[in-house]
Amino acid sequence: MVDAAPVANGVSTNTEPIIRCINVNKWFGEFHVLRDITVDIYPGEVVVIIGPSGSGKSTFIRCINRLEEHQEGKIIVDGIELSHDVRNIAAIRREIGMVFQQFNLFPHLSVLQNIMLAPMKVRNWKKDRAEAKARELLERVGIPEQCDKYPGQLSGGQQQRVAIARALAMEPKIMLFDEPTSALDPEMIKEVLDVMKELALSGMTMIVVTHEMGFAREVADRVLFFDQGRIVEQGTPEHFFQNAQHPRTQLFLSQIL
Amino acid sequence: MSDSNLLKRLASFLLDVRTIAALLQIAFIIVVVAVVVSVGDSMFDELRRRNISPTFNFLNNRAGFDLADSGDYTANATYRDAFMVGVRNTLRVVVVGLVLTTILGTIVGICLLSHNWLVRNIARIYVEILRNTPLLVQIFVWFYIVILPMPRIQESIELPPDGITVIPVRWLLFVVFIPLLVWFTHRLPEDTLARMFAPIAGVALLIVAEMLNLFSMPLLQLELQPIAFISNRGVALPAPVATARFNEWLIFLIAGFALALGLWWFLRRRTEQTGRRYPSLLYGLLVFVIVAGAGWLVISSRPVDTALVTVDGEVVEMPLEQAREENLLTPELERYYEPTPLTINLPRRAGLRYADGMILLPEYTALLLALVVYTSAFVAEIVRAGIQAVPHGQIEAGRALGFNYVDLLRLIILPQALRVIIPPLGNQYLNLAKNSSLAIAISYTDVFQVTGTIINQTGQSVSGILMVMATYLILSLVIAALMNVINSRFQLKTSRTNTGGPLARLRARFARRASAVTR
Repeated sequence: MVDAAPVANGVSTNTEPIIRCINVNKWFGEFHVLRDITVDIYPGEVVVIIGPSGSGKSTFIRCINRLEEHQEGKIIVDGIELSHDVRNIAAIRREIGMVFQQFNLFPHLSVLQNIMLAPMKVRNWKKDRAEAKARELLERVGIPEQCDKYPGQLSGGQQQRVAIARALAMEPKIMLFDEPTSALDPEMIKEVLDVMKELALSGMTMIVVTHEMGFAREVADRVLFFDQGRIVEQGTPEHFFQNAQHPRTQLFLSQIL
Repeated sequence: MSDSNLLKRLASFLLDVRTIAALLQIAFIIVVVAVVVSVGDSMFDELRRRNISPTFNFLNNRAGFDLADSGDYTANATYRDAFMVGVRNTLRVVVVGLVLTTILGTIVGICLLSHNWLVRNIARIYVEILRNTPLLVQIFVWFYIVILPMPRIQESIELPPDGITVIPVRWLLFVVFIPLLVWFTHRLPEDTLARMFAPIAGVALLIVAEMLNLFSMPLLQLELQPIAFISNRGVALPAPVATARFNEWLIFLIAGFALALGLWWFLRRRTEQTGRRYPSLLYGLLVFVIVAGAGWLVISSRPVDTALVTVDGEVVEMPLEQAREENLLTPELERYYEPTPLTINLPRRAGLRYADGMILLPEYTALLLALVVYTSAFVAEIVRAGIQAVPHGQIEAGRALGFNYVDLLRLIILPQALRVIIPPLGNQYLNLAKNSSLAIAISYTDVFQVTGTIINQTGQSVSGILMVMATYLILSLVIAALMNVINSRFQLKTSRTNTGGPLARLRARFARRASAVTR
């Protein structure tokens, strides 16, 4: 499943989408956060979502693994539709890893335990297997020597890399990143982005909400621009950064670049 | 030249922050010792002058007063015995109170966070009323408004009621029909009219049946004997009593516990090795129950042959039958030589008091209820705050990883909440222990009340107060020490904490020294 799908101009041609969103709508009370979001995401695709704050980017990706509930429309992940059925929600969460802005590592567990907990308790892996996986992933994110420390003893960049390893330990098909570098010191951003780039190159399906335009330009297959709960414009990074059509996109880009 | 050099060194020694800190410490100790010695000296002088020098010799004298709730104690016992009755009664209130407070407080604390409006607000009102009125007033309310207006002993509330109890068919209906209805409803497809109306129709059927009085015919008629009484003389409950064979059974209990522990440990290892999860706690419990039950049956199957009885002041061993025929067996001894390891001592009414069983006096009941209910309000707030102190991101991270609700609570929320809960919880435990001295308001014979009587009779107020203070101090220190041990297990590790306990630190220090030596 994870091998890279043929992607041209950011849109896959001959595979089934792994995530389908059809006319998704959501309200926070009176506030209409998501308006008719319709988008297909294909296996192996790296989708970067950008847009001003309050435009619904985070809410959108949090709907994909049911941290938020959408009120209208359909979200289908890997053939399973998100409904109120707990079995569906659990099945979908097993296939989706998530990385948060504030890391959200479990402070009472060591780095190794943080990574091993979910595979052992959710996937029912044996301890040896979970530990081998955890050590392999720590190697991959570049901090194998920190395995017995506690989150409070690590720097922000190291914590976020542990959080990525923790999500990967469940062997998800899709990874969601919710502003993964926004809480980091500038010099730590690169170490996290490097891990994400490596992950993208390995063929992982990724949806990344970020303000790192360099990352979007370099790694993304497709960029979605959100404004006021709508996808205003989407396309390849080349299209998006050099040839944006919508005035709102042009305004946004002129302010940040 | 050398003089000024010496002066400089002296000045830099005296003005060193470390020297100043040490000198201040020494000065402080001198002041404290001086104050204590002078105050103590003048106090003892004054006491000697009035001829009431504190001694503890009076403890061996005959007390001469009766005490309620005192076990084997009689007026002929010594003051020391009277004091120990007080200590025992204080412990009885505090230990039972701590357990009940923790349970009640945790339940109310979770209710404070309930999504259900009614539950949440009832819990809130409970907490606000209880923690905003004085404990002394609450003790009086429990004693004079709740316990004393209970029926007189002749009209005790009996549980279950004496005589014939009729169980109508209706009960069976509720036990069988309602779960069936729930199960049936859940099998219907979602979002259909049938699913919506099935439970309504089921409940409507029940109501119609009830209105037509269809199911009131008796299912069972039981002839029951009361096993518990409640009246304004207190609460009488059945009490388990160990027989001569309890020690044999204890071996089975210990073996069962060891086996259960072994199985639990083995299953946990299996889970680590294979990933399969077992209900290890349930299996352990099952093994324990089976071993204990088997032990019970094996022990009870042998008849009791001999008994030790007292004949003319001498203890003699003789066959049980013979002892019975010679009327040497009191009811207590009769029970002691039952073939089972435990017998249940049922309470009964004996004139204007209860006999046998476990009897909770009205004073004890009122004090316990007041302390538990009052302290539970504070514990509830601590539990609520502890759970709310866990950042929402932790819950989101757990949910995103796919944990179910129970695992989320057990593995992620609770360990972090306990870290916040335990220190203030320890404070509330100490409060409960110390507040138990308010027993004196309703004349419950706790250590403070008993010592009051002792002081009145002997005039040894300083000794008496010292003994009371020592009792509460020891009690508080034990509670605090236990809470510290628990607390240290839940501390978070950050870059500033020493990992490991004092032993690990010591080992690290030796390791450093050893490596310095080899270098």
